Amino acid sequence: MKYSAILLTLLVCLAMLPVTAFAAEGDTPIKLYLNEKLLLPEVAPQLIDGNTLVPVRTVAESLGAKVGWDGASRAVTVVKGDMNIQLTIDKKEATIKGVRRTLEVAPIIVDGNTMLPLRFIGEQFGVKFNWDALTHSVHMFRPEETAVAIKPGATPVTSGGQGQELDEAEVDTQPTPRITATPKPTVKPTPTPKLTPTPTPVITKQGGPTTPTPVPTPTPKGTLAPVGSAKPGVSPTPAPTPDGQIHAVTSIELTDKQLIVKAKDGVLLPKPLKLTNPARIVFDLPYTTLDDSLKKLMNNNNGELPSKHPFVEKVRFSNFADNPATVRIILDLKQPADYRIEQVKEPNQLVVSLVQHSLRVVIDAGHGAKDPGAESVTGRYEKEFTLAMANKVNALLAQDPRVEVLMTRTDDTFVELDDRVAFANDNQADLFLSIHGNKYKPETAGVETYYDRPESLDFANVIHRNVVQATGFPDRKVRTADYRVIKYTAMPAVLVEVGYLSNEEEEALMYTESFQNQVAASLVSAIKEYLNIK
Amino acid sequence: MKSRWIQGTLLAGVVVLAATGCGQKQLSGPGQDAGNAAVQESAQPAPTATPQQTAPAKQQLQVKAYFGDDNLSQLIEQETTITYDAADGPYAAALAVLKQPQEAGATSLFAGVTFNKVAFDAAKSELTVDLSLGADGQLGAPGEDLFLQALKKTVFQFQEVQSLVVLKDGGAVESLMGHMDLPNPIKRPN
Repeated sequence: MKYSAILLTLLVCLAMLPVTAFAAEGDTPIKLYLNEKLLLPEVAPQLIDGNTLVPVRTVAESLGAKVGWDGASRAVTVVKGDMNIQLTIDKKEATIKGVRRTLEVAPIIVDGNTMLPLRFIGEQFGVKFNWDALTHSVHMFRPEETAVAIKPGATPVTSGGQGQELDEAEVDTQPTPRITATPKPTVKPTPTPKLTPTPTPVITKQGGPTTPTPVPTPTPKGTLAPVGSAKPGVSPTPAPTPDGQIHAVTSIELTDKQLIVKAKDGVLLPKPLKLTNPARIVFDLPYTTLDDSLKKLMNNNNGELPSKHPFVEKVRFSNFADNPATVRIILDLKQPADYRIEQVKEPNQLVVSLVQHSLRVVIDAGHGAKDPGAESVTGRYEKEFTLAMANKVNALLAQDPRVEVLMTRTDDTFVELDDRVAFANDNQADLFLSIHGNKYKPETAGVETYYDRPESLDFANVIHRNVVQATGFPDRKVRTADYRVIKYTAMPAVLVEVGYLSNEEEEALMYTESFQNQVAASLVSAIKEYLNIK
Repeated sequence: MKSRWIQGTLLAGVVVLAATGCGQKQLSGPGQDAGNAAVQESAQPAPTATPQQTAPAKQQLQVKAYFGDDNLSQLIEQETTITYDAADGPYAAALAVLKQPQEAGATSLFAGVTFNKVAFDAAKSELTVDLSLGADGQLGAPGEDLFLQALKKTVFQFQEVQSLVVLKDGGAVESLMGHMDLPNPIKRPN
């Protein structure tokens, strides 16, 4: 509907306006979308000094926040859950969650509406946004789990909670795929699983660029899962079919290394889930119920056990669901951790090791070997540029012990796109960055950063800002495209076209050491900025 | 995808407007050619072409071809008349046009491409295009995106083509230029 409206508008323009009328695009109202739903503010968003100002009330209320106005003091209050923002018209001083902050741009009033930079609102409410110059519109995406995470009910349950509190709190904060309301599905099924395990990409830690080591393929022994990602597609254990019987869980124990759960008989079929804010690891055990010895430990339906594990605050358990009967075990984490479900001989036992979470970043050098990529204006190949860049990023990023760098290639090797995707997904990486060089007409120049899934937008924005600054090349914007490596990866994924190899000036720089070092440093700082480990 | 197509349509419209002013209907974008019945009819290869009396039947046909705009953002549609042997069908001649933009502001996305073989299997309604990318043929990610769009639009303007098989140097590949999928076959979009 909206597109046909735009189309119609365009056609009317075509018929009525002289060509020059299109120069006056500032007069076109900016459209505002939230999760691809058109919002209808009283005042259209405006571009002022390079900032997109949006009406606070429309945006905040569409995000479920309450907006208050005190005419005497010209004060605006935005409240949602524990988020409390106090603003004063024409003043840059603001109070956010009780902390004084200085805004880049003061709120102003336009036709009775308080206007604030979109960037500010996005940051405060965890809303991702994108400016689409083509349709002159702002697209905001609110991941449902973010919205839920800041609602008051999501605070951790204190010990000795009443009744069903434990269950409800955990239910509310589950970032299960069924509640993602983003316009595109967050995890897209791979249409043709023609993945072959053979062409093995290489992993390097600590910047050893030419010594490929075998991939730590997720062996049946255990699968690592990074924090904050409940990936429905990645099932850590091949799920045997339940026998339909309900089996009694007889003991739950957390040692200093492992969680050990035993059932009287049957097969335990754990469904792991990682939750953030606060960090928890949850195991649901369908077709089980707590036995009397465990029930005795419970206060109402909540049981609690002490933890000997350094990463875990405490263990909670409950008879969580009825159909099928399901025991839920929750590990309240002191710090982010990865779990690894160990393979044990006894099918009625669950043994889970908890290990330090390490951030994993996949750096993908575009092209390679028989796929040379674009040929540059001086006859050099894109694959050289991308490899040099990737290796430099690896060398820099691997210096940070908090980050594990995984390289899709470290030499002139050909890797299929699907294998790049599988490599990142199998290793459950936290981020994916693909580095490329562009090609078109001699005069075309600049940086383009591409993403496909909405959850990659933040990362794209950070990468783009850093690379535009480091290169000094024209800003050709963050764009969307369904390139395979950014489409089918399961983590935030970005493809950056650093510059145009068909442009003499850009090409000359792109093959120099100093320029590559500079851009590599900017990519590393962008990654760290995004991961919040600056 | 739909939105991108419409965005493409919009931009094409704007580009056309900027380049030519209003009212030059033969240059209008793909979304606006619904009323341009003459073009659509003439795009039906065999029946409307005027048969020649001489033996090696040369036929003429007005076809659409697609090029990159100055900003590598959208396709530009152009029309041109091709001459082809009735026995061969219009496909190879239509694809050859992709290498020759007719107007300023349009850039060929196929400059470095050699079409080795273009064959239509009428029984399967399938067109097979085997191509090679020369030194200059491989584009960046956005170029490959537009390249594939241009190829598909050009091929599927022929109503009888229901699917398209693209081979590179005679073989099926996962991706032509290392960014986009290359499904085999590519089905006619609905």
